[in-house]
Amino acid sequence: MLGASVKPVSARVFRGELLGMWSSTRMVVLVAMSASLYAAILIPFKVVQLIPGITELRPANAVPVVCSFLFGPAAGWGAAIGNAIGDTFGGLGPGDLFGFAGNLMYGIAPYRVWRALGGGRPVPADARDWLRFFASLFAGAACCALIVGWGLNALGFVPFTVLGNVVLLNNMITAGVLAPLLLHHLYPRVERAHLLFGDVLATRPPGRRRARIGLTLLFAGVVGGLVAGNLAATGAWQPAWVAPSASPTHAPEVGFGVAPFVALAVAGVLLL
Amino acid sequence: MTSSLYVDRPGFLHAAHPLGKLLAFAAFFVAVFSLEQPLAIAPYVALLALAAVFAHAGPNLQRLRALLVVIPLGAIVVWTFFYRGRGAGAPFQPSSAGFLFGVGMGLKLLSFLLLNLILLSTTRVEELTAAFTRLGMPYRVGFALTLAFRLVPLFAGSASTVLQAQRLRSLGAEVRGVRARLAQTVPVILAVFMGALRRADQMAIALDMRGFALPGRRTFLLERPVSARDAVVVLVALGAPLSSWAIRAAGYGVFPR
Repeated sequence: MLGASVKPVSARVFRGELLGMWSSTRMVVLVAMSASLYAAILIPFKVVQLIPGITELRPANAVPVVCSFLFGPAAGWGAAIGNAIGDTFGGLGPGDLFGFAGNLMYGIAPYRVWRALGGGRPVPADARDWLRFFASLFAGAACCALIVGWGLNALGFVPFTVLGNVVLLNNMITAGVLAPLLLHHLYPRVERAHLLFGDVLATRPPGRRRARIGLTLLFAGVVGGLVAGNLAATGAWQPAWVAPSASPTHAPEVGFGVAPFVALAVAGVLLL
Repeated sequence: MTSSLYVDRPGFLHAAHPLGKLLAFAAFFVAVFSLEQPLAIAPYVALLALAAVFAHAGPNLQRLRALLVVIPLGAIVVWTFFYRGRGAGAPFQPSSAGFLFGVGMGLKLLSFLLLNLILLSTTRVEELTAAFTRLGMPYRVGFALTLAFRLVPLFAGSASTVLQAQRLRSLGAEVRGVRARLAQTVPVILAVFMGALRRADQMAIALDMRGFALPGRRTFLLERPVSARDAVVVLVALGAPLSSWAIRAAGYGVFPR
């Protein structure tokens, strides 16, 4: 049987589950596997550009979400590396650092939010499960859209109004349709193979209080950030803590104005 | 399908040290990033296009030709409507100032694509990983990156095999409609995923058997010595940000605020 002899490695011995997972050889291989699956589906669709040079039609966006529920933190690193591999076919640049961070969050937020909302098998059976599932999916998709949209507008490449919204929709639609279908078939198989991240890595879910704080910070950060980003990028909102600039891209307004929301969202994910 | 853009032909840049090439990549990026006006950015794009030909990146230019056209065009369209600087009209109204800014942005993105092509056409993924490791990236992260690059064509090949087997069983009937196509995609991903998982499990065992988990400093098979050509690469690269700084200091390069 696959992975039957796996002994969980304690992430607490090291530096938390996100960094501690690198001490497990199986998790390192699962990172590479998630990354290559993501990239293998991303690359053929590079020619179907939605915002040329920045983002394209991404049916592969279901992969990080599915891997998140199966492989936990390995899916986050896998999504980040897979996105970087895909970007080598569309022009690497400093914007890819934000792509890396955004996809890392896209891969780790779903399983953490799901766990904080009660956990269990991520194969929705009733209305409550579907609600939890879509909340988990939205958290990851919105966190990725916020970081990528914020970073690339801060560098002056693409307006947040365009990129943030396109990434959010792209992530939500593809993952919303494909992820439940794939998980329905894959989760039982991977569970039987004892290769779920809980079987490979001994982790401890956050306490109820910490989970509540994390969820509040995360959702306040992503919702607030998406609204603030759209308003600041169009000039409809001038953040009180940023001096008005004459920038044609509103880069300082978006860069400094949305940064606190990004920090809230990232802190929320890390607390979960 | 291949996941690497590396062109295996001996050349000046192929033999240069990956760290020098990374420094050159960063220097050219800083130079182009600091400029806005198309006429100021165009010479850098021309220089990079020449360097791409010189680096034998022709097959990759051909391979990514659609992107070389679509990327600048997209930037022009977006900024024609979203530009908010001097000379812009009402929000979301196209303006000639926005068009000009978009041309500059399109050239910037084109230069990043060319930089990327030159770097990856002349540098193996393993060399890049070794360079990043020298810069402080943990070995295990570099290993995952290299392994992922190597696995991409393998998984793409598996997907193609599964797809062909399915087509054969349905006697060549072409699937029509979004729902039917989606329904066809799911079994393909399932088969590729489970195959990948089996491979991952065996790979983890093989790695542990070979001492992957053991502590200690790692060495790399591909180690390039530093040579005089690296000094040339670094000097040419440093000229890029210096020249862009000179252009800005002379009052050109950016649009008036």
